[in-house]
Amino acid sequence: MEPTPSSPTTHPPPTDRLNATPLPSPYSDNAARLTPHLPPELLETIFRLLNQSTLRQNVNLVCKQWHLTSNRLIHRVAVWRPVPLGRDGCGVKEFQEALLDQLCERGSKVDTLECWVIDGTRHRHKKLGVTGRPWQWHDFVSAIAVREKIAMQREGRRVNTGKEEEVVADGDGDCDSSLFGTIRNLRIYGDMIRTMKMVEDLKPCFAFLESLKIEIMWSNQETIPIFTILDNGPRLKTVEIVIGRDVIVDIVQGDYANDAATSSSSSSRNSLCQQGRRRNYPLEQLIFNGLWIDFKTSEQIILSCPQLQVLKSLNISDNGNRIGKPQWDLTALQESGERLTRLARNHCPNLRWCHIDLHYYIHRQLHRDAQLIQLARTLPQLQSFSMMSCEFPMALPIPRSRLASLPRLPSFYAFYNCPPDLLQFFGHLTVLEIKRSKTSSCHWRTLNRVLCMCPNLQELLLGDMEMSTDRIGDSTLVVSSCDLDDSETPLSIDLLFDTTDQERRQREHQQQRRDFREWVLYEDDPHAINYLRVRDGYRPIPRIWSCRHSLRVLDWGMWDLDDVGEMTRHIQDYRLFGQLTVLRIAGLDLKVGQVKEEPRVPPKKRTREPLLTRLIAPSGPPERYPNDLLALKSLVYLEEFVMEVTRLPGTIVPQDFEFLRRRGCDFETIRSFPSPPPPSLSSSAQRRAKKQILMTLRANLVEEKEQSDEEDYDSEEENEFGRVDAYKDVRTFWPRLTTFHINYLRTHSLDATRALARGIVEASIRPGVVFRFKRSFNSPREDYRYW
Amino acid sequence: MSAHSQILLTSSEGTEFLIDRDIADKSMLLKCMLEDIGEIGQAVPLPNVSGPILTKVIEYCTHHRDDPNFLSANDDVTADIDEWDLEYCKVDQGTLYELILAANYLDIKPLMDLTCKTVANMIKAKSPEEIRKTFNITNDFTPEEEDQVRRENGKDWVDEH
Repeated sequence: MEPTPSSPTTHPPPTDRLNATPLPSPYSDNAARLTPHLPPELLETIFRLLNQSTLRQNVNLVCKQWHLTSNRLIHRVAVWRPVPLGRDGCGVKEFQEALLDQLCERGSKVDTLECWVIDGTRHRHKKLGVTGRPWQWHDFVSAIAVREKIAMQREGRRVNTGKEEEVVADGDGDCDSSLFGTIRNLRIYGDMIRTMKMVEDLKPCFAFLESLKIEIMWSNQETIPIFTILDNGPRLKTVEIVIGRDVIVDIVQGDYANDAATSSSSSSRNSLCQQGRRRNYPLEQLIFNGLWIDFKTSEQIILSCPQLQVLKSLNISDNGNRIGKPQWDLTALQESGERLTRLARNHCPNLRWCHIDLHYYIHRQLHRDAQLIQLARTLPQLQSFSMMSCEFPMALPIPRSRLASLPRLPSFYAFYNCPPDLLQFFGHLTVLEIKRSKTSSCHWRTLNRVLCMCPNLQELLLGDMEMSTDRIGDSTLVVSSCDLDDSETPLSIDLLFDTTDQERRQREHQQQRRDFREWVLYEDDPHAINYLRVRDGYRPIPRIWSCRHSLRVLDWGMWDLDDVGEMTRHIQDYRLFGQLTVLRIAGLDLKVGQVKEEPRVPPKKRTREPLLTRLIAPSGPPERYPNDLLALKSLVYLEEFVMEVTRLPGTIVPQDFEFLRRRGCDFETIRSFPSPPPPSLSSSAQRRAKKQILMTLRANLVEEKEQSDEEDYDSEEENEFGRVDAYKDVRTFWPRLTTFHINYLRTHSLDATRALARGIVEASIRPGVVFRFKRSFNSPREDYRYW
Repeated sequence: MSAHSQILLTSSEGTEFLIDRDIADKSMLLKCMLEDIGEIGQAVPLPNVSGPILTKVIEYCTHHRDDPNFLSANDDVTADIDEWDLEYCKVDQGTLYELILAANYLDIKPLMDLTCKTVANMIKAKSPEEIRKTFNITNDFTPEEEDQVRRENGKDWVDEH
């Protein structure tokens, strides 16, 4: 979730305010209520703290003053779809015409326009259904051109027919209008659209936009003219470009051959800085995904956007190599990477989220841990950070000297050892996003390890991943018998070498094990009970998810075949995430105790069964699914629950959501609910952990199996939140809930979900909570296998 | 200027409050004024703040006088309210209303965030009717207007984000 930025209230100068006329004091007569007297700007400050659902469905309906004030904060999105509304495909044109008519109306409150040039739906990583067609894009472009012209004429603006440049110039000046009068945000979800053509077609619109998102599921190899967009969009604050396939799409400026050529020579870098040919853009957020960019263009972006706050997924690629230039040497690459980060630090003082990654053919020699350390040293105060899942295996450093003497280390070897810079860097993070790698899978233990290093983390964004639930339980303490036993040789290494060399390799592995045991020393120190003692001036890494109680926002993308219930039970068993306010899950299905659908019986069998038998057969209570959400009762601070599922199995009726019914007394008491405990082990857990580690190391671990960290939390007494069981006193399920959204791809009971939401409201199960069940046409998380 | 110098404030009723300079500095209004004109040697009038409310404001600033992150700690609008602040805000709506106005007038951002967050928590998870009841607001929509607003918020092709 993107937090709503709070805008400071404007204050008059001190002297004026001191001389201000005293306001009437409702407190003095002790009869006044709060908000009717609040000035709109203060009311707006309060409303900024509420989410969109609450604003739209509740606040907007309270009274006229609240309506007017909240209207300024509510984002309304109009969606242009080429998807047929009826079975015969009719109605598309009428729908689109009606939509545009509505947008052009005076007083339209829609501020965002979405264009979908994809037939059918799409999976979060793949496109589904039929390919979008060029005429669909053409329809959209011509429609908005015509309507925009009409809107401009209506407003008496200058119209420059056929000359887009003049329209842009108009927007560059004092013209205060936006697209259709109100649209300030444009999102394009396309498929097989040529990006150059798209940008060319949309040029006239850029002048009015404050944010632009382009997401293309497939694109031929071509470039994205980012500077053309910026040049024509003088008000753009946010630009996001996403390419959904593994194709090469570059961002370059101007002539391809000249600009894509990257050079590490200092002269060229200096000349670039001296050129200063780009003007400054007011851009605050620049987000790329699936794109490649070269050093030179990256520098230009950083230099020309000094107000950048978010700079994400700047994947620096080896364009030079692809167009026949010589490869970079390792030192030059490292230097250039460092220079780019320093440039970002020096030119963008407001930068709070930065992700720059070097993707060069020689990147195997340039360890990602080195990049990470360099970033940690250059931007030590960064609070938001993105990583690729494939970065984990080498994400934490190994001293070079140790590398030289231990050529083939166990994969976990590095993670006992963390330089203070990096530990401090992760310690500052409040937002961590893990992006799914298209080429390699996630190293789960290491992910757990990274999370152990983030005690202040508040937002964990794993929605893009395909997380496997049982991986939460993967031990972060990775000492196992195999790891320390001299007699064992890792299978993976056996598979890689010729068997004739086995003896020598065996000796090498034994030496490695001995070195490893010496290196991972554990001292009988009560203060070090949660850590493994390490050498070389490095600092130990905590052994537990430090953020497991501090997280406020969790975005969890599950593996398609994983059971949602398993995940929720995991949260219950380990008392995880007690402070969550926002939970978003992408999973397979939603089970809330609804009646199961009848199994499909083949027609032949059905006919053989006598009618009388069926009629007199005892009909017991219908079989029901379990309610997976009941296990999440401990999330008492939860305000937003959003779930994106592939299917809604069975027949869901409003009564299935009775568990959410509000119990009156909790409503007033919940705000004084006790805080969860700090993330530390109880004394008994410490004793057990200490005993376990000592046994593990001293007995050389021939037979002793490692006990996972999570077993430490199996007992109630080890977690104060669990021991107190305070949440069990709260009778209302999720008492702070404001939003309950389910996005689904298919359902057993076809279009009944609209009636379902209405039924829940009519049954007064939970007044104040916005229920929504929505078919996921525009959900990024859909499962192609069930389509 | 001495770090322990004191400032005299006068509330709207004329009640005088003598507070330490570092507490007064929590208010950007007072801080800027004192920096601009120096110590004026007489009471600073605060015509928009009543005595009881000024007492509450001073109580808040005194509690947080040694907080090093006083001005930067509340950037996260979604952060929870700590226990002392929670108790501090357990006041009737009239007082809360005056505290918001006083925090805005005196330009004390953390107090402003705290009081606004408290009101936002009172709005959350309530239906429009419950909100009206909580804040004693009269529904000034006609039934037709209310239907119109509901329709605007529920159109098929206009989707909430």
